[in-house]
Amino acid sequence: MSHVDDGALHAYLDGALESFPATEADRIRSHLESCEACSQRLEEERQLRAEASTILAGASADAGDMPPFEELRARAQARERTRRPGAGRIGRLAWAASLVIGLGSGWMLRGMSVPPMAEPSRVESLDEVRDAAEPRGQMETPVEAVAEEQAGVSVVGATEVAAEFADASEADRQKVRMAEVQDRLAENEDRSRGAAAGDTSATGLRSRTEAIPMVRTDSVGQRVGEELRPVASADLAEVAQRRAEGALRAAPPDTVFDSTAGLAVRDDRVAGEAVSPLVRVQDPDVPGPERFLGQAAEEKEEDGTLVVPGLAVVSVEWLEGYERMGAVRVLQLLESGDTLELVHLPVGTDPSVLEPVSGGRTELVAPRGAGWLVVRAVASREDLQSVLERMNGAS
Amino acid sequence: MSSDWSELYREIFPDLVRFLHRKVWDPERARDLAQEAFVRALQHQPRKPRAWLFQVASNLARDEARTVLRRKRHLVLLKGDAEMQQAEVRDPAGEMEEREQWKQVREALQALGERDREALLLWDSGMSYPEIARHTGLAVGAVGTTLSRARRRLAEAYREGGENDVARR
Repeated sequence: MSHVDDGALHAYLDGALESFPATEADRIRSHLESCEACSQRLEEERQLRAEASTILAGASADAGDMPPFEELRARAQARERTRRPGAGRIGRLAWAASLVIGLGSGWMLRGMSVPPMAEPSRVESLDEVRDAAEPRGQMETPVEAVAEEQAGVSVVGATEVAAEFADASEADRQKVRMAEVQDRLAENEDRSRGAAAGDTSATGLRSRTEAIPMVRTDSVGQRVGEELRPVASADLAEVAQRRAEGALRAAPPDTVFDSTAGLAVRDDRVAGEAVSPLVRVQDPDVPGPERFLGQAAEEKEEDGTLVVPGLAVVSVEWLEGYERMGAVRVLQLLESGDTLELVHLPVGTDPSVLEPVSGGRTELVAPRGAGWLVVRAVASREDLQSVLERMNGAS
Repeated sequence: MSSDWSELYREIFPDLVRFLHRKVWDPERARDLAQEAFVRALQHQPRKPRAWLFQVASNLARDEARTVLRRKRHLVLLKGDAEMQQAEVRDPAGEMEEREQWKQVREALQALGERDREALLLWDSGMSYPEIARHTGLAVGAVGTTLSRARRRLAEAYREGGENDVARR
């Protein structure tokens, strides 16, 4: 009969043999009763275990004066109150739309001869943004207006977003949000036009970007020919419900999106309002993100996703130092609550720009168009593989 | 449900603070983050509160570390200075000794691989093997081996640290 290994000895000492298969647990117990060598090792491991516990006890912090439970509950309720009915869903959709638009504008600019990252709009106060938004008129179809008029971007699902924006219950805050997006897109466009002026091969951002339809295709809308058709509201409710359930599991932290990359991606949503934007890029003719997002060069239509559908997005940022090349880092929350890191590395990027994988994280690298997709998380290789499959399935 | 949560709060909060303290090494911050995790839990009402709370706490600590590294190093230093000054008013000798002890434990913990350290801290905070497995991505059968290795490395590193300290004196 084989001896008991250290792991099993510690499981025995920790009272965790129940987590072993019953036959194995029985074998370990009976072996320890009959094997003198293993019994001796058991005592040594018992001392080691006690020593480690003592060491850790030397760095304990007491809970201090715990605030009354009622106080925490009041805080939770106060947060809930700030999320007015419907606000969460609108926020999610608005955020998803702004992500798509932001990514679209940022990536388009990436292909130009200027840094892709326009400086984020300088806004001293929310009032400034609000004031700036007023001349733009009413919020009939703000997302579509931004998308189609300013960047040649069409957003599936924008109809739903616009409809929700039209709801009078969601007012200034969303206006501010959209105004910021509009301002940044306008600013980006202005910069790019200026940059393109000296380039005879380019006719300006608009003419180039109009050929790059950015299509957001998750289940909130569908594209039929050139039309955007909203799905039934019942389906939307189901999507929202599914996302809410996912968010409960994922426990995303409160997130303020870092817009230092100029992606116009910003949000002040609270925990749990997870969204799962799926960005697809379609156009084989125009150099741009599809170069490394595309699945196969020979395919007439190249698709690619930036994010894993169904997972909350924590942040989207250019990889420091590789903004011009379009290296993007996306952080999402896995259902387990752990963070998933996706790095899109175009050809020419030095992989050493990424810090070595550490901390028990697993890394998968997959070819992605003319580049690579690096996926990292504290998860098994199988789990990461399934993440890749989810992305591929979405493309 | 409210009374259940109230009970969970009394039961888990100290474990959560202990777990967080060994990640952020700031007792006040550990308590703040533990409270934040509970507020979120009360919002979300997760089905497995304990596992959920530790996962959120772990994420909060990690976000905290990133933020500190990127943007707030100077603020933390200032905060640390302020706390040190307060501590000196309270009990300078005791506080210094405690912080020295923390430093030694912290350094010993840093000698562990991240997953080993996480597993050990989770176990010490009362998590079960299956819970640790879910949290770290380990197979349940591998948790014992991981803990065995972590404990051994911790003890060795702590002893080495102590010997070095003696040699320096």
